[in-house]
Amino acid sequence: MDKCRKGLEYLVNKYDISAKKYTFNKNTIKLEDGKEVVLFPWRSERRFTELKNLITNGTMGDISVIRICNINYVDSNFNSLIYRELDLCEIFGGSEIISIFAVKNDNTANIIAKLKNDIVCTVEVATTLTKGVDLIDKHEIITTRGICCDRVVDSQIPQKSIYVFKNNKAPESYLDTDFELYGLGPNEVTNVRSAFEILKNEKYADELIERDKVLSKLVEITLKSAKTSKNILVEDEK
Amino acid sequence: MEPLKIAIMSLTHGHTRKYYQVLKENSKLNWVAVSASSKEVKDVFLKSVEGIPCYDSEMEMLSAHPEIEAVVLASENSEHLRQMRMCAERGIHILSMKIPSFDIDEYDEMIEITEKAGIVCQVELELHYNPVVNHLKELNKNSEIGKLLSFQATNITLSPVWAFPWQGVPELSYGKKLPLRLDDNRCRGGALCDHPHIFDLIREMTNSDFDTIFASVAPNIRPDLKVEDMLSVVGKMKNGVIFSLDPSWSKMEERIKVPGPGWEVFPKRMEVNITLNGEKGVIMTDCFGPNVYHNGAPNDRYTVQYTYFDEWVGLIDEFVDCIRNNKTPKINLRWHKKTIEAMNACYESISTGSVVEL
Repeated sequence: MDKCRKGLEYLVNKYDISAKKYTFNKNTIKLEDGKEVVLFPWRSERRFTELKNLITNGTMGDISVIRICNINYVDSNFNSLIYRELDLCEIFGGSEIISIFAVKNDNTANIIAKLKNDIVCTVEVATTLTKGVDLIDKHEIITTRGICCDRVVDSQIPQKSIYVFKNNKAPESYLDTDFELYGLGPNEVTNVRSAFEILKNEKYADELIERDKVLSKLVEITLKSAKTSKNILVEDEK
Repeated sequence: MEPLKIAIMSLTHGHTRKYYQVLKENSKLNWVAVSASSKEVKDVFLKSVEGIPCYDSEMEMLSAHPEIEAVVLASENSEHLRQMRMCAERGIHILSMKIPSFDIDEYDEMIEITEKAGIVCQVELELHYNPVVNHLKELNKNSEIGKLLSFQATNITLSPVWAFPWQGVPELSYGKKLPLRLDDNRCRGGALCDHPHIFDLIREMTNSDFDTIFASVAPNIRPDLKVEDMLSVVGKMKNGVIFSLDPSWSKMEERIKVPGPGWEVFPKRMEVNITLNGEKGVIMTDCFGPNVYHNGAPNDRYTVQYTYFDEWVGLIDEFVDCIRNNKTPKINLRWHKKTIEAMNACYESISTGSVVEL
């Protein structure tokens, strides 16, 4: 966490917003006015920014389906995966979720969420990975002009930038994504960037506070659907 | 063992070309003849294969070759019952394409006439003869990741309708014209009808049957098609394993009339990827990978060149073994019926917007 705090301090000083006071914790940032804002680190992942750009700049066509898979560690927060991926569905789709159907078995769930603009989103989440392996996720957007995706065609697991083979062991690998925050791991980078975005723009903090309420409700609806085996209209739960 | 005298009918199914090589090379077979459903189809065949007589009708072929013992019904789904009757009357064994029929009354008649005639009727679900799938089944059987919790699978391809137009005609692929939903101008008969494999595989790997199914159809990525091309399916098996299945035509293609190099727009024309989540870990499987890659002719476009493709070898071996040794094929009509019922449940769920209990 110290490395992350130093990283944030560096950005704050470099971009001259050092007058602001804040408390940076693992998943939240507390602002001078007392607001505590949950971080949305995935929104600072450049791969998601680029996917969204491909949609908005006309590279791709009209979206038909968004397919997401996220497999995380056994001891990670299961609901937070649903939270994150439903947020990405709405960001990529540019529309709000109007219905959710889900099935759940222990720490795995499969979800079909429909957006107001008719896009269908499939979200497959599980917390079944043992520690020590790389996390697995994939975001695929299928459109009338083709597919954009954060994973390589004909591959199953995320790529890294560097692989080091030595001492007859499995290769060590590295993924460096941010020059300014060089030395931080990918998840640390996105946490710092997410906190920095909030410090840069107070209105964004308010937006995220509202967004947290919406997504928490969508997670609740997902779990309710899995329990009742019903396709739930979001409107009916307001 | 005397080679099995085999023929192909119609030549209109997308898998027809897969049989050319195996029927010629497999020493257990004697490829006697084919019948084509039209002059256009006949011309394509004659350009592809030499030395096999091609007849203009099934009757003409059967009359000219009374020695035929078995037939591959490489036809549109709507032709299957008629052709099965013709074969059953003559005691000719049948290798059916992957969808015998979506109409359960028709399906029951198929069971009745083939059993009464005492002939082998094997349904062509070639994934069972894929070595990667074989290994996956072993890992699953040995409980390598403990108790199975969830099964996620894609069976996603380009759309074959431009080369095999019947796959875009509801009456020929689904058997009748039935709108997907009241407010939808598309009909049943598209991508779902092309992709039964994962609905079948999950039954074998979980040793269970479908309990609930929820399916949702998305806007077509080919708006000019009259059938669905994008859909998602989730649900639960009777033993509690949950699933997510994608049987879409999500890979874009060039609209060519005869499949061949340059068919792909998306680099990989077909994928069957299966992820298993268990109590002790995860298995991820690409049933058709890795491969080799090129960006050469005809479009200089980065393309996945399929490299390992053994499915039809094992499939034909089993078919011959069942006929010669009086065995029942693993994928027989009775086993496959529940897969068809599950696929029909997908259409029902799309139509009603609700979960379907089986």
